[in-house]
Amino acid sequence: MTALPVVVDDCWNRIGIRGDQSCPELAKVVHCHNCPVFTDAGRRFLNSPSPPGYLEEWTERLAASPQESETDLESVLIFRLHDEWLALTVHTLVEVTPPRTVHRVPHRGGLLDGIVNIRGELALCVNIGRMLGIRNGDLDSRQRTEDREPSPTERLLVTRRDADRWVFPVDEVDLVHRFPRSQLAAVPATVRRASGHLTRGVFDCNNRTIGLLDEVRLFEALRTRLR
Amino acid sequence: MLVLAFQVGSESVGLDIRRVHAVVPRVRLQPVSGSPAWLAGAFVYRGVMVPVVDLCQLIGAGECPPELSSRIVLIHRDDSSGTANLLGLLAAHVADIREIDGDLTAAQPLSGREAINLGPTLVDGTTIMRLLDPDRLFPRQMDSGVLV
Repeated sequence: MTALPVVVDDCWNRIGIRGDQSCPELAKVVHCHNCPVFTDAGRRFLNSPSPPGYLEEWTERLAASPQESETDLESVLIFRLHDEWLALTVHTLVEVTPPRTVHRVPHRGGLLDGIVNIRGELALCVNIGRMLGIRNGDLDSRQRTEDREPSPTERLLVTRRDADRWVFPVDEVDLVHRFPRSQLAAVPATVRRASGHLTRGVFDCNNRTIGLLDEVRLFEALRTRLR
Repeated sequence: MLVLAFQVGSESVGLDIRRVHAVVPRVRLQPVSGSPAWLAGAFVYRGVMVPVVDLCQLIGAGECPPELSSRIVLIHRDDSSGTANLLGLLAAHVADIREIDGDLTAAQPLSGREAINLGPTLVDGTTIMRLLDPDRLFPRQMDSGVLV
């Protein structure tokens, strides 16, 4: 970008909401965004002459055709369970939070790890690794020890589909990745695992092969096995 | 009605946002030789040539000021969508989208005898806003083949 003209008196940075907040106007307008001084400064900025190189830069940018991109993109969150990288569509994702205390439910073991407090709402925490047959016995027993130190990469995925709300503990969350649906390949026939039918396909990202979970089947399976 | 508000000379002008394809910054316009002063030039937008009309020149208010808020409003010359058949309108203070009471049918005419009429008027708070009607603004010039 070319350099843009600088506004001289930036009172919002000195005494305003980004400064020491000592401006007497703040009592009236609450936030600098509502203050006429701020609005005027914005107008003044826009009414200043355009900097050198501005016209050329925009001429060049607008002339270029937008890059042809595949329209049928899918956004997924990539996460790790033990040594397996998986992905879940972002439509079902509510948030990713640091691990917090999971309260065990008496006489309910198996897939259900317990109940967890997410912003004041209780949600069921499901051991998705066991459900998909990914975690081995060692890790499961380690998980049961409630006072163990969580590893710094561990996170909780909070998901929602229709009225169902589930929390999945995962070992690591990578990133939200966008890829064209056409890159989704079928699950290799050699994968003989309970998770096979819960996976929609596999795709490549950063030299890793990632299994994309089938959110419809996954949530259905959770509902039938836990309700 | 939601309008894109801007300034042409001393007049406050609104344009129905449904007519607007995009608002882009001012660019280096290639002059069209032999064209009237209000045809500011043409530029390449996404691989397509787009003629740009300087609205300030069109009403005889001098050149559009070279400010950051002077922008090019891209409108469709017909009912098509996409980047084909676009027309750029260069205007000043293109920095606001406002909700205005009433529409084209409620607008009242107001014009000098000789001046080019930007469009009928609507009351916008304490000021009078011209409601730009691109279809009525250019018919004569378009017939003469300058913009076709």
